Amino acid sequence: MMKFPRRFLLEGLFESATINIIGLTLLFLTPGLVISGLIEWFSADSHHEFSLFATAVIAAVLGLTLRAVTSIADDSMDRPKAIFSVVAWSWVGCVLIGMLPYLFAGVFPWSRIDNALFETISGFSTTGSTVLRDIEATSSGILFWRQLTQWYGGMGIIVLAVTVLPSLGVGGLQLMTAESPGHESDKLRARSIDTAKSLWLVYFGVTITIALLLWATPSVGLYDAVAHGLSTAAIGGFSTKNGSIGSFDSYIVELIIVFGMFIGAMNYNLQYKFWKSKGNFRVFTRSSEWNLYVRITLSFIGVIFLMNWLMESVDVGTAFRDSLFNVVTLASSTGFGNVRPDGIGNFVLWGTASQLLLLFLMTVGGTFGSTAGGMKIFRMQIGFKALSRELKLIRRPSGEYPIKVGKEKIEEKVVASILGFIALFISLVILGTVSLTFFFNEDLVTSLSGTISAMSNMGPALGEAGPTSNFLEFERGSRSIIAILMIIGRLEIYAVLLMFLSLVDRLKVR
Amino acid sequence: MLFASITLGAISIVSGFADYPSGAGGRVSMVLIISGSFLALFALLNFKGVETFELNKPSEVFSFSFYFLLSFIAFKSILLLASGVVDTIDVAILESTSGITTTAISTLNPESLPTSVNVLRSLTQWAGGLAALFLVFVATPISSSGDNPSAGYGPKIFSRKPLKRMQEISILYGGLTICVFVALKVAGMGFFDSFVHSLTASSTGGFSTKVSSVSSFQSGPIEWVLICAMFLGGLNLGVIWWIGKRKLHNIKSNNELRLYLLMFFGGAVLFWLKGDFLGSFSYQVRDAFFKVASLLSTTGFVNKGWEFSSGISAIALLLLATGGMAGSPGSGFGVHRLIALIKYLRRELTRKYNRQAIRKIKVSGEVVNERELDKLQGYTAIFIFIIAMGSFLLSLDNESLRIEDSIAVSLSAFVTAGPPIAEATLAIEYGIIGNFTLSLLMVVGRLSILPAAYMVLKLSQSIKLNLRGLISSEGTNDEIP
Repeated sequence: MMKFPRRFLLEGLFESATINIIGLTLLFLTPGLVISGLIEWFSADSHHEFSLFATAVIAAVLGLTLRAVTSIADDSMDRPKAIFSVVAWSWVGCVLIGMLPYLFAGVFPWSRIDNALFETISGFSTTGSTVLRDIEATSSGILFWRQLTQWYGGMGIIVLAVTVLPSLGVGGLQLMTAESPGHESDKLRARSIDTAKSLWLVYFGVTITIALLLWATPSVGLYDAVAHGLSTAAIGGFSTKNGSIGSFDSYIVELIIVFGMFIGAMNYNLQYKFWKSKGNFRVFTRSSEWNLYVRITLSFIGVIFLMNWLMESVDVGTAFRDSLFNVVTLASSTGFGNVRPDGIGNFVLWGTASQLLLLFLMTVGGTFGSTAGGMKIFRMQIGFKALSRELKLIRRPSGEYPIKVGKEKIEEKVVASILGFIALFISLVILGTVSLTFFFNEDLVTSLSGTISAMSNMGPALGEAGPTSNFLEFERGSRSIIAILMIIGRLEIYAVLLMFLSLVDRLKVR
Repeated sequence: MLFASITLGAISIVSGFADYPSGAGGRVSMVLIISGSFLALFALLNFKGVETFELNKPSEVFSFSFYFLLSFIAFKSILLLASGVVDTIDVAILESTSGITTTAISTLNPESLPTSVNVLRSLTQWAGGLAALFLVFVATPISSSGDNPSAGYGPKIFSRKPLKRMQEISILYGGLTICVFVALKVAGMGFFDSFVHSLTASSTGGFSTKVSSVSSFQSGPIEWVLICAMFLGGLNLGVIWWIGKRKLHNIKSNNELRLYLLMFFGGAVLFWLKGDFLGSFSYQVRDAFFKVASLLSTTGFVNKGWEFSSGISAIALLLLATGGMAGSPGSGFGVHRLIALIKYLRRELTRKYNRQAIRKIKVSGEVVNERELDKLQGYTAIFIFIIAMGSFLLSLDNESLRIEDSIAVSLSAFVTAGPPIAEATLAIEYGIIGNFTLSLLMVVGRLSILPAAYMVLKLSQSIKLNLRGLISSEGTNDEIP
């Protein structure tokens, strides 16, 4: 009887890594909610600070309670099952708490809780699809929280990359560092938590840089600069304006955002090394994934610019500006829009060939170790190398052709995992498309591109889901499917599917 | 080249005599007979030089099929141009490729063509179907490679001796064609139409004598006969052989057949539910089965109302992409590969969950080895990549093409089917880029991806080496005083 208070306070009532880490995650959300609440408080237009402060209190109390009543056993995180459980439930926790400000502030009525859920999932998954009809009519504190959900999502992805994915062999640290052997021990420390801290530092740096650059321009105020800095670094795509980046109607703002999106989709590990080496650019050029990323982006900018210039009736400057912006926004899986009355930023109106190229870019996504979504360039690289090996094997069936990236040989089980991932990605895209068309009568292009966009955490898509569209145009059921795909895409497929398997397994046992 | 020459020669002579000397096609028939005789003679004279003919290695099988296909297309293009049926080289190549690869893509109006040309077209598709079966059941098992999952089928189903096996396959294929012909005739189709449609249905080709394909006949019995013919066309020929031999236990354990049946009947139900068909219940059922049979077997016959609603368009594309069973003249991703892919994905998930799990993947009782599974992953990725590239090139050629139509046409050409998923795209004519893209897609689709890619690489390598040799010899000559 005397032992109970001591255990309760120091060791927790029972051992559960999942609940303990959910508590920790909720505590992480609290500062963001408080900052958003303060912004709302000082805002002259609206006063929904209660909704944000109340959520902050709920998050803090719940977080502290969960931390207090549970403890983590030393070996509890050794099994993949436990890691999936932690990731999945932390996500659920964040989304459930993250949607409360929308509901408390009346942005979405309680009867439309699914919309609040969609907006929050879109935020934490850094997708950027929205169901807000009038963004500018929403109070600044709530909008700031919306931006912060994407930024938190970006932080979460870094944790995912360094802790969860390595155990799956489909991504994460071992692939992030595949091309630069040895640096884990010297510059980037081997322990995953230290690695995460190092990468977070870079993430902070990128966010602040973009915000400062935006603030320095005459057309963007401090609030908008910080808000867009958060969503650009996270490769999210949420904006505080109805017309997204197009609302600023400024070439320089678009260029800063393009720069932000471009570096946001670059491996943070390389950026960290670049920073530590005091600006040695060879850190980047030595990485074949980075080289391919740059080549793909530049060549697509070139081709799409030429096609737009030749096929659309616009001047060369406008064609270049809009091609550059939209290629980078889709290649980096950000999803900002730059639609202006005098421009051609609405890419759903471009020619079919250009749109097909955009669809390809949406699928590929950014590089490993960044906050970008999509299949990732590294996986595409491995896929093509595996294919060329197949061709060599036809000629010499007994030959041995290891797959190399840079000078590093990639393990066969990693190659197999990556090929499996590509096949799974494609299968899910097909399944999503069929579901959207068959059950909800969405048209084929909207369904296909919407599925790819959700899986790649992009935001806008083609057809009815273009950069000027709102996801409210989709049926409720369609939105639910898209939201599920966003989570699946963000957690790199396996984690989510295995979470369900784990759940089914537990139910079976009981 | 000689095989292509003798095949086309024989087909041309038969086609030429089909309406010679009467009718408006008299001149065309003459051209066909003379050219056919010339091709056959050329082949027969040179056959004496071919003392040994061996297909022991995968590369030999690939080379044989590749050069056979290319030579056939080249000879037939020249024939079509010489007979005046087409005016431009790109259309001639498109028509020739469409014929031999059993695709139903055509820019010609069959009703305005002489009988001999319609016979030539249908016989070409029939020969293409037979060649595809020989490739699967005879050539591939010898080399036991390629990306064809049915590599081991031939000797297990038919005779062990390749020549005997070829004979059995020809008898079965010919018998099926005759059955379809008789059934069509009984269903009320004319002699000539029955002849052409039986050839193109059993080969899953899809060429018709009518500009609006099967919808011209407006006949329920004819459509039902063709539904059955297309269904059989998408089946593994071995399954029909087993039924004939009463080896039903082999069929029971075949999960490829089960999935094919599920897709056929399940697809029909989905079409019936979401296809927005009008008319009586029996008409709707027939319509649903016809569309599913045409898409799944990659035949390409078109009946009335070939405009799919949003709700069913993705299902239609999925059926088209899957195609028939391995060991059928149809093309596509293949039911066999689909099963292996589903099982592979399930295993991948299990492995992530339970690292100790060891699980062999079996399709129809046969263990699929790890190398085949590796190939399957590559095949899946490149399958989608080729369709994407095809739709991109087609949309470059025709700016008015919508995204969904460009994807559908590209997929349709690649799986050697023919009909897209919208009536609007049935009549679209393409420019040079479009026609060449379609031809290329059909060739790659018919040869299968890896053999085609291997041959293209081999060809480009030899061109490079020849060029290098040429340049170096020129350099050497310059140095000679």
